[in-house]
Amino acid sequence: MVQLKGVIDEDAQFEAISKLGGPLIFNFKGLTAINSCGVRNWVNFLKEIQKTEITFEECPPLIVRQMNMVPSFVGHAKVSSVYVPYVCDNCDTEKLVLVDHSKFVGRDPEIAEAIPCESCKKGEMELDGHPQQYFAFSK
Amino acid sequence: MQPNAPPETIACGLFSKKEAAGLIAGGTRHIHSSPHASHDACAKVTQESLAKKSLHPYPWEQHRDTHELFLNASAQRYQFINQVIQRTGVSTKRDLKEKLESLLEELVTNSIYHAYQNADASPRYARKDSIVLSEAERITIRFASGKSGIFLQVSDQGGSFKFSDVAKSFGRCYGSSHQQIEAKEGGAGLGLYMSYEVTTHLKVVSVAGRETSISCWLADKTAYAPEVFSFNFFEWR
Repeated sequence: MVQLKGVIDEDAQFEAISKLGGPLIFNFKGLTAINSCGVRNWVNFLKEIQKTEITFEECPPLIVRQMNMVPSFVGHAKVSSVYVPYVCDNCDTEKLVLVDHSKFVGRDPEIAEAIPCESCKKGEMELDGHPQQYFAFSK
Repeated sequence: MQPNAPPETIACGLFSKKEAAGLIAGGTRHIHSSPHASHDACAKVTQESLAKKSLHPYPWEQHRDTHELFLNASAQRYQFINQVIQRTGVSTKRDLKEKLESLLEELVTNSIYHAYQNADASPRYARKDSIVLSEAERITIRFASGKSGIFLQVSDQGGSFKFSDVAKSFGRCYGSSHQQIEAKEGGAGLGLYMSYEVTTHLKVVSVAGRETSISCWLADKTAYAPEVFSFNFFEWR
């Protein structure tokens, strides 16, 4: 497994990863930002390893946004899990809930639209966005 | 594809962002997606601006407390982005913070590295250069925190941004997926596309050889409606 942390930008270099061989699991949990040049570097990197079996796991919302905007960001990867943001309608606390691919790959997303807020214990945490839009990458 | 819609064409109606991008790729410079169609308040401002050949501000651009920062060096970028995040009060709102950071990064970086050209029209600065801008190259960042979102404007003094660049980029980004990324060095051609995707209103004013100003409105999720958005590109000579 390869844990990606920090920022993917024009300075990101993936040569060391391509020498690992496969299959590869990319864990995006620690990623904090990515810009358009970083997206390009990533897409070009995926093209170099297109014969390697790859999986994306623990994709945070900023990565899901890229997956939806730029289909080649996913390329030939399988997405095994993503974080889905929920926000409390009472105290505005946010929680990222990890959702497994069985809940969204090749089907209408099967996720809770609301969950109780553990922070204020009064409000409901609602999905921050539209399920169909959030999981558009899985279609 | 060469844009061929007349510059004064305004498309009003209800569109998806993808449909609107197709119109932009086809040469439409002004799009207002709204249930009010041509009666939309922003559409009326566009009509007035084009008719009188002078810019009138959109409702989403008008704020009492607008802050201003002047960027003189590429090394200041991230410090300035952090300042905007802090002063707009979005640091605790993850989604808005991420979108604002991304937007600032794309607009400011594009201004630094693509606004200024040599005599042969090649970019004056390479993407990875650490540069100090002259007074005549200084970039201005204006921002304001509104009740339901953030106003942002990034202006350079190059005026090199052409609508044809946008039309080409959108035609590529909304076309088949393998064409989305530009293989050449420099920007990936995704910056404005990514900005368009996350913003509700996006306006470009480009005065050839003098200034390019990109203004946008980033809506808070409580005010966000995916079918309501606008895109405007004013290119003056």
